[in-house]
This record gives sequence, structure tokens and C-alpha cells, in this order.
Amino acid sequence: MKITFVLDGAERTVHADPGLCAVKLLKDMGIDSVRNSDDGHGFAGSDTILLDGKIVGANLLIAGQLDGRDVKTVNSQRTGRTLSFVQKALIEAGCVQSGYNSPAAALMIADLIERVPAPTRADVVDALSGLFNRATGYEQFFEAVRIAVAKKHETEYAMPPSPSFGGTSRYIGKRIPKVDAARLVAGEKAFVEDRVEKDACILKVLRSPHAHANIVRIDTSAAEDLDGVVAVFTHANVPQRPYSQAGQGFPEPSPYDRVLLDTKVRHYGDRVAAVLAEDEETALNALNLIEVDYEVLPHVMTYDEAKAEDAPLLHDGPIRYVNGAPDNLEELNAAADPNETPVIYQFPIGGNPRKNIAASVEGGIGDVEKGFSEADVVIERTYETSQIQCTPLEMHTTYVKPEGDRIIIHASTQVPYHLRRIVATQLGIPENKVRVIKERVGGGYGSKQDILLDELAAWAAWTTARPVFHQYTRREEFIACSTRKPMRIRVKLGAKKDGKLTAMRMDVESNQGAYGAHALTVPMNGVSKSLPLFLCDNAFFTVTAYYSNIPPTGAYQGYGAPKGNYAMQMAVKELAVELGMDHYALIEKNRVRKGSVLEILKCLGEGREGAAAAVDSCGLDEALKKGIKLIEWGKKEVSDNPDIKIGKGLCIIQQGSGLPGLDQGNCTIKMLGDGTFLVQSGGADLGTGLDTVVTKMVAEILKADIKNVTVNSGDTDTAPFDKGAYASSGTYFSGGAAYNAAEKMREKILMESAAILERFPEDLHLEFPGIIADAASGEKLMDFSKLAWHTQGGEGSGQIIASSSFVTDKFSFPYGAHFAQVAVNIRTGKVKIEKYYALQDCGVPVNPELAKGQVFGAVMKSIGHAMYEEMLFDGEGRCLNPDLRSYGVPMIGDVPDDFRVDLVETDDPHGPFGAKSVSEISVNGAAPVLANAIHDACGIWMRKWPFSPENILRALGNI
Amino acid sequence: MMYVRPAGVTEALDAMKERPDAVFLAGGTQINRAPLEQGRPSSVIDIRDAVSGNIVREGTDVVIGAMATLQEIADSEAVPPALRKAAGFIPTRSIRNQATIGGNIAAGRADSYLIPALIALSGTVRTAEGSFSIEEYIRDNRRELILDVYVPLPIGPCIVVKESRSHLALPVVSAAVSMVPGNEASKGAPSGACVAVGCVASKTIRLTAVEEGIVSGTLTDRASIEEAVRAEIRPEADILGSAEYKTYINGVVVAGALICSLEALS
Repeated sequence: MKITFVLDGAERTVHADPGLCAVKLLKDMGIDSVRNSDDGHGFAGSDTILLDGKIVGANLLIAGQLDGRDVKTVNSQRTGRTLSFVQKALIEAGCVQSGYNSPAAALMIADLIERVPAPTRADVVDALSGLFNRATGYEQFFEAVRIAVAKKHETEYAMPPSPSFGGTSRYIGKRIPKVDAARLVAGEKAFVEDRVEKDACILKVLRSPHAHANIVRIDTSAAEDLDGVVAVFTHANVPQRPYSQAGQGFPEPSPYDRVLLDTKVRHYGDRVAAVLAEDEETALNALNLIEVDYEVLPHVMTYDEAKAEDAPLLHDGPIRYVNGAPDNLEELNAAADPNETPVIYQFPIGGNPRKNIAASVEGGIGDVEKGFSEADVVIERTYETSQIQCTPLEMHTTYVKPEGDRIIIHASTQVPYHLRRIVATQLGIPENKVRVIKERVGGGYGSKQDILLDELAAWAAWTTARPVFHQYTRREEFIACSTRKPMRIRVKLGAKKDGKLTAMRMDVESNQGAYGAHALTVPMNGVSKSLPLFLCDNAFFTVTAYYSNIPPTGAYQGYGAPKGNYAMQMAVKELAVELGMDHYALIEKNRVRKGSVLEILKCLGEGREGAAAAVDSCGLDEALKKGIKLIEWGKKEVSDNPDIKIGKGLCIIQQGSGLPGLDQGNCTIKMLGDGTFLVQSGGADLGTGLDTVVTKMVAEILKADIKNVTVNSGDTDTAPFDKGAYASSGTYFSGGAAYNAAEKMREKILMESAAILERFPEDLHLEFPGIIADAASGEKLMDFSKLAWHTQGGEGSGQIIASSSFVTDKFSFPYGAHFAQVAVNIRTGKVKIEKYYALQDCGVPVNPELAKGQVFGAVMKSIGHAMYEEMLFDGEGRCLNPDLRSYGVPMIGDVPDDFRVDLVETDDPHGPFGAKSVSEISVNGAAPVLANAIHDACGIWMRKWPFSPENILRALGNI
Repeated sequence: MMYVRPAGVTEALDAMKERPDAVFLAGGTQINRAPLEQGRPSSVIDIRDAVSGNIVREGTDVVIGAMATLQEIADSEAVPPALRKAAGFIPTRSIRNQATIGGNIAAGRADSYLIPALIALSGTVRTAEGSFSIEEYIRDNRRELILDVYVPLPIGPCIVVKESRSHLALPVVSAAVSMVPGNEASKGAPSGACVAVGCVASKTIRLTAVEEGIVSGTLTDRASIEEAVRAEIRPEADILGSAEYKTYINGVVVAGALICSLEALS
């Protein structure tokens, strides 16, 4: 059909199937900024366009509906290279993180301001009602609208008072636009899907309809015969090399218990076969032609089913160890099925697949039984958390191209270097034959720490010599991704009458799902980020991760801490009630402080021996004092409506800053010919602003104009190794590497300058902007461009290049205190969050606005996990709600009425410029703080997620 | 896909006769939704040029063209407040900008916000083949092409209610109640009542026993109304909640709306 419409002001005519989705039509016409996050469920808003001047979702339109219409995309916003006032406002307010649907936000706000000259908060909620944004937590959009309105009317907008951090630093702690924000909000090519060339084949996966089954026959002949099918893959023609999809440092503390395609499926949605075809329709049709006969096996979905005496085993193949095989290995393997995929442990992590145990560990300090016997009050409670989906806006995506004897992977990943290693291993080629280019990441939150599809696509590309595009559907995100592990945590606390803790015990059971990624470390992290918040000489923990037939689990922002801390913080509140003490007073009596030594960490080494850690910075004093005042702790609020009960809650939280002793970051800085700098950082910016952190650190140390520093990160061919973006390591490790490299560059600049100027290096120093000056007199002697000319000329000493790594054995713990006020309607069970205050210590916040955005986003995620979200399964293990709406992610209409983030500055002695991590910690707060506030409101204990109206009503005894 | 865009109603109906498997395409929020799960129709008849979306007053009725979007209804001062509010219950502006009242009625979803409101307001649809009450159109699964929706201006209170877990979650309650004021001697008791409830059956239903109890004066207090509502519904458990919860919450919320209506009358 001939379709004519006006696209961004110009009439365009195309010939297309009228039933083609409008997003695809626009993509074919070169519009990349209109994106798909929900497969046409009308939920996420990444597909937003203006149709005849109205905001609509292009995923809900077919091509024929565009005929004769006026269509505007974000391209209508920018004039040349000049962004619109709305786009500028979004950047200034710190709203652009992953940026996947920032163009959509720009269109929605532009439409709002056109309709409503002075928008209220409710108007903003309405305008952005269809925008799902997991990263930012929405609150900063209100400020973006205020800024945009001021810009439109050319009036001065006074930013809310934003304390300056980082002392006299020029860039550190100051409000500077995120370095990639402009291109993202403009809708430029930035993501993997934007790199796909027209000759790319499409890879689609046939997924298991059973939770647990053996594949007894598979016939792909009809699929192979279909025109347009390039190849069909099954267990018969892919390598059978066991591996783990966990993108962790090698050797991983996760069992190698899967192969690319297996003869056994272990969860609904597991891989059965894959089709590579010339186009998507052919690939999907071919999947329907594959005949599979299954031997359905009994399945287990819960901890209790998994550990039952006669439970079916998920992994019945031989158990092998690379190092440290246990003495009873032969016995364990006596009845193993030699035809099943083996389970390979790199070293002992307490696994016993013969009992469905993927990993386990226990440890402690002092004498916990003695501690309980000395207590005046002992409580023991059990808490449960649910399986949570990461829900990145950009679904998992990869584009793999063969290039000569190499494979080039355009990836949306948090771990480019682990991805390179795993793909090389699966393909049986060395790492130098694999190049990973990390594109902008449209949200990861942990799920892109795991290698979920790149390795299969790489095999398809390698064997067929064809470029391969593979992108999950939203449904696949739910059934074949990595998710937050459900946990059941028993906490036992003993205390004297005055509240002094005498003993603490945590027993953590983790529902690992079908495969063992992060089996040990996530539940351990639930202990290591919650027990050390309280000082007690006697503490003990156990951790057991059970295989089951739920969809795979893995890393998710916060790792195990959101679950461990939910249990621990609630238990402390329950102890306070038992003791008749004020909750805040009990926390103050026992909490960690600057100068504390965390002995318990000796037992929590994540697969190796741990070490006690000193707390060298801790902002809890200020955070708690400030929060207590803000929330008016102790003042009881009463509603006029007798059905509404109001309560307040608090909790304290912590995280780490990377994995000292385990991980490493690297960075290289090159001075270019005009004295500017190219920084090649191994760090993987997944939308959090890591590239901006690196840029600031280099510019700060080298006294360079920030515009003269460009960061190129995450390309394994050009940047040195980095562990990747996980474990809150970006600022500390990757930033630390940049800091060290910049220091080295500074020394080299002084050395080279001294030689040219015939001075001593110690007599020189750097001055802004890019000047070498006499240290004593301040006389300006030479600028960087002249230095570059000298060094890179025919008689020069060579381009100045500085490289450095960052490793440490020092821990830098970020801390926080969260406060909430809720109104519980005891008749409907609905909980309204009236106030939420997050007081956050991240050391010296390098990017304050982005740091606040991280906290807002993390809190909203945590609110979602605690209040709304849950993956539901039927009796056969099938996920019942594999879409964003029925799963229940929070939107802007769910934002607390009064939502505030305050950054509490501490100067950490180990972090670069005193910085600590900020990205993950705040996801640990909402569940306990809301549960505690609900108890304060109406006396019920919500010991299980989610705190849905139905569950509240059940706890109240109303149903 | 076969796609036609007729210029008038007659051509639209002719196109349908030629291809009985075709569907009328209004805004597209239902038909184009989730193609990976529900597929695409093989033939569509885009009615945007054939059917009006105007909203006008005609005597004591508001006439809403079937192609009027939910946002246009929410914004229109000509439309009764209860219907405007019901249109606004759809929490996503981009959906309201695209979805039409005709499409919403034709889809007949059990969780529609508009259908309970239109039933409570005694709305009717004019189709190419005659007029039907909304209640009849929904109850009988009629498929005629909707041209206009006629909504009489209410003479008594009409209250619409919804309840969902989160802002964009699908509802567990979508209901509307209306009452016709009694005469002076009735002392505030209504002479008529309508209670239209979605989300508790495969389509929106009326709670006739509750209506009779309200009019007869046997149901006047919250507890007895809640009980009566619960007695008349049989929701099924699904991902939104158990049958027990849905029964309970519909009792609470619908009873609340009825109490408010009674208070407004008195």
C-alpha cells in the first residue's frame, strides 16, 4: 500500500504492508528514536509519537493508520545540533540515565507545555502517565517540567538549593550534564538495535512449554526446508561445553551447569532449539515447524519442594571440580546420569546437586548460643521475598557480525570483558578473536550482568558466517532472563532489656531456579549487607541456594541486600516492639559507626577467605538525625477518615563499593595532538553516568577543560580490562582506575614539560585550563597543545599515554537512612505513601544530580518490589503475567506525594576524591521502611512481599 | 493485511459484507494490541473517515460520535461528569488520545471503565442497523457498527469508581451507580437505581437485587449494602487477586459509591 504522511514536517511516501507496526515502519524510514519496550501492550511509552498533534503509542498503530496524518518524532524537537528547551531541561534536571525513552519523555513534556502553560504536579503525572522509567524514579521529571516552562517563557529558573559537594573542586560534586545525555535525548543512534544492518539474519528461540522435561525427539527438517531459513540449531549441532551465564570474575563462584542447547529443559521458557532466518517472520514460522517430543518430568517450584527427600533433581549429571574436589565426590557421582550435562564447580561453594543444592555456606563470630542464653528477650521471625523481574526498557539485545577470523559483538551488557571470555570459550577460539562493543545500555539493573543471548547468537554467526540480530521479546524477558531470587530468611535476635544486642542469627534459603548463576554470592550478600549494620559480638549465618524449576535467577540491583535487609530491619523493629523500646533508639544503641570493625566479614568472602573490614567513613549519624527531624519522628499523625491509619517507619541500609581483593579496573589516557584527552576506560556505563564520573576525574586532576576530555568505554579492542558494572563498583573501581591513570598522566606531563622547559618536574604544576605553570610563581609556561606538539613531532618523545589499574583491599561502605510515612486504608487494604525521605551517604557525590536520580530510581524499584510486583506461576510452572502491566511495575502515578533525596557527604579515605558507590544501595530501603510504617499505622507485620491490598486485608483479618 | 478506509458508513458496511472476516478499526488500542499474542486481523476497515467523533448536545442528550477519543470525552464540558471521570480512569494519556468510545464499547471488556458508566447513565448506541441500550448491546454481544452514543443528562447522582493495585494496574473494581430522585414524600429515597459492575463476570453486569434493595429502602446502611453486593457477584480468581478478595473489595467500593449517592439525594 502507498502510504503518504508528513513526517517531522516533510511529506513522505512509502510502500508498505498496511498492517506493519508503525514502529517498524518508522524504523525502516530511518527513525531510531521510536522504540519498542512492551511489544504493543501500550504500557511503556518508548514508542511515543505525536499523531496529528496528540501523544500516542506507535506500537498500537499500523502503517495504514499513518496515511494522511501528521507524525512528529523527537526529530521535530531539535534544530540542527541545538536541542529544544524541553530536551535541555531534561538534561539539566538529571532525567537522562539510560536514555532509552528520553526522546519519548521530551515529546510528552513538549505536548504538556503546549497544552498547559503552567502545569501542576497532577498535570505532569497525567502527561507522563504512559512513560515507564525504571532508572530515574520519575521525581526529577517534575523539576524538568519546571525548568522547561521557565525556558519557554525565557524566565530565570532558580534551581532548588543544591548543596555543593567536593569542596573547591571544579567538577567533582558539581552539577555537570551527563556526557552522553544530549545524544540520548536527541534520539541519535546509540543502542545495539541501531547498529543492525539490512543483511542481518534474525535469531529466534524455541522455548520449552514444560517446567521440567527431557527432549526425547526433535525433528527440525521441516523448519530447515522453509525458504529463508539459514540454520536450525539443537543440542546436536552446538558445543556441549558447560558454562555459567553469570558475568562474574573468573573463576566464578557459580557452577557451570548448562550448555548452549541441552537435551533437558529445566524451566518453562528454557531453550529447546534456535532458528536463524533471513527475516523475523520466517524465523517465527520455522519455530512452529520444529517437532519435539518431551518426556515430562515432575517439577519443583519452592524451597520445600526442592529439598524434599524424594524431590526430582534438576541436575543429575556428573559433578566435577576444577579445584578442591570434596572427599565424597565419587560417592556423589555414583548414581549420576552420564548422559546429563555435568555440573562443574571451579572451587567448592557448598553445592550438592544430588540434593538440589546449588551452593551453601555458613559462618559466624563469637558464640551465638551463649549470646542468646544471655539475652533478656529473644525473637525469631521468618520473612519471604518474591521473584522480581529487572524490566529494563531495552530488552536483551545483541548483534553479532563475523569479520574475517573474528567475531564482533555489539552488546547491551554490563560486563564486556566477561562476555568476551564466555563467547570465546563457547566458540573455542581465543579472546583476541572476539571484540565486544558495549553500546549504550537501555537499562540493565543486573540482568545484563549475565550472558543470556550473546553466546548463542555468536555461535550462529560464527558457524554460518552471517550477521545475527537477536532480541528478546518482553515475554522472554520474564520467562528466560535472570531475575531477583526469592528468599526465605529466618532472623533470630537476642537483646538485653536496654536493647543491647547479644546475638544475631540469619538463616537464608534462596530459590535459585533452574541454573546456578550467582547461587552463592547473592544470598551471601543478603547477609554481608545486613548483619554488619549492627554491632554484636555473637553472630551466625547459614545460606542455602536450592535449584528449582522457576525461571532462572541472577543478579539484580542490590544483589542479595534488599532481601537480607528487609528481614534484618524488620526483625529489629519487631525486637523493639518486644522490648517496648523506640525503634530509633534501638537502632542507635546497636548500629555501626565510623571506626567500627566489621568482624563478621571474615566469614563472608564470596568464595574465598574474607577479612574483617574497618568502617572508615559512615554518614549514618547525620542521615539519621536529619531524617528524624524531617519525618517528625514520634509525632503521631491522625487522619480525619476513620478508615485511614497513618504510620511512620525507618530503616538503615548499606552496600559495598565493588569487591576489594577480587576485582580490578583499568584505564588508559592518551593526550591527542591538540592537547585534549581521549580516555579509554574499561568501565561499562550502563546509563548510571560512569563515563561522566571518569570524565570529571580526569579533567579535575589534569586541570583540563571538561570539554577537552572524551571517554571511550566498554570496547574490548580499545579499552583495557575492567571487571564490569556490578557490585556497585563503577565509581570506586573504574573511577579509581581513571583517577590513577590521570595521576600518572599528570606526572608524565610534568616530566615531559620539564624536559622541554629545562626545569625540574617538581618545580612545575598544572593550572586550569590545561596550562603548565611555574609552581612557585604561577607563571604560565606552556599549554597542553604545545606540549602535544613537542611530544608528537619528529623529534618528540612520543605521544603521552598513561595507563593504570585499580585494585584494593580497602572497603568503602555507603550508608543510608530511609524514612516513610504511609496511610493505610484498613477497609480497602490500599497503602498510600505520603512521604519518603532517603538520606544517602555516598561519600563525595561525584555527579550529585545523577546520584539523586539513582537514589530516586532505586527507591521506586524497591517500592515496586515491596508493594506491587510479583511473578505468578500456575501449577505447571508457567509464568502467568509476563508483561509489564500485569506484572505491576510502578509508574509516575505511584510516586510518593512528598519524595525527597538528600545526599549526606562524607569524605571516604579510600574512594577516588572521597567517593563511594551510590547505584545500588537505595534499593535496600523501601521494603523494610514501608513494612515498619505499615505496622506503625495499623499494627500488622508484613513479613512477605508484596504488600498488596489483598495481603494487607488478610493481615488485618478482613478477608 | 487487507486495509480499506471507506469515506462513509455505507461503504464501510459494504466493505464488511465483502469481507466478513474483517474488523472495524477505530483507534486501534485493542485491535493492534500485543500482536505477538493475539495476532493481527487479516482484514481491517479503518472507519476514521466514515464515522464522526463530534460531541454535541441534542436536547437533553449528549451525542458522542463513536470516533470520539476518551481524552476528548474527558475534556468535554458537554459530557456528564461521571462519564468524563470514567474516561479519565484510563490512566495513560496516550491511550486516551487514541482509544475511542465506540471501540471501547465494541470491545466489551469486562474491565471497561466506560461501559458501567454508560449503563448507569442509561446510554444508548445508534448503529447502522438501529439503536440499542448500552446494556443490551453488551449483554447480547451485538456487533453492529456503532455510529453515535447517546447519553441523557442525569437527573440524579451518578458515581463511578475504580480500584487497582497500582496506578496503571488493571482494575479489580470498575463500577458505576446512579439514582433517580424520588418525590418530596420519599424523604431522599430514590425512585430508581442502577448499579453496573465490571470486573466480576465476563462482561459488565447489573446488580438488580441491590438496586431493588436501594429503591425499596431495605438497604440503607453500609454493612447491609456491602453484604448485598457480595451476594450478587461471583468473580473468579486470576492474577489480580483471589475470588474472595475481589468479592470483598467490590462490596466495599460499590457500597461506598451507593452510600455517597444516597447522601447526595438526601
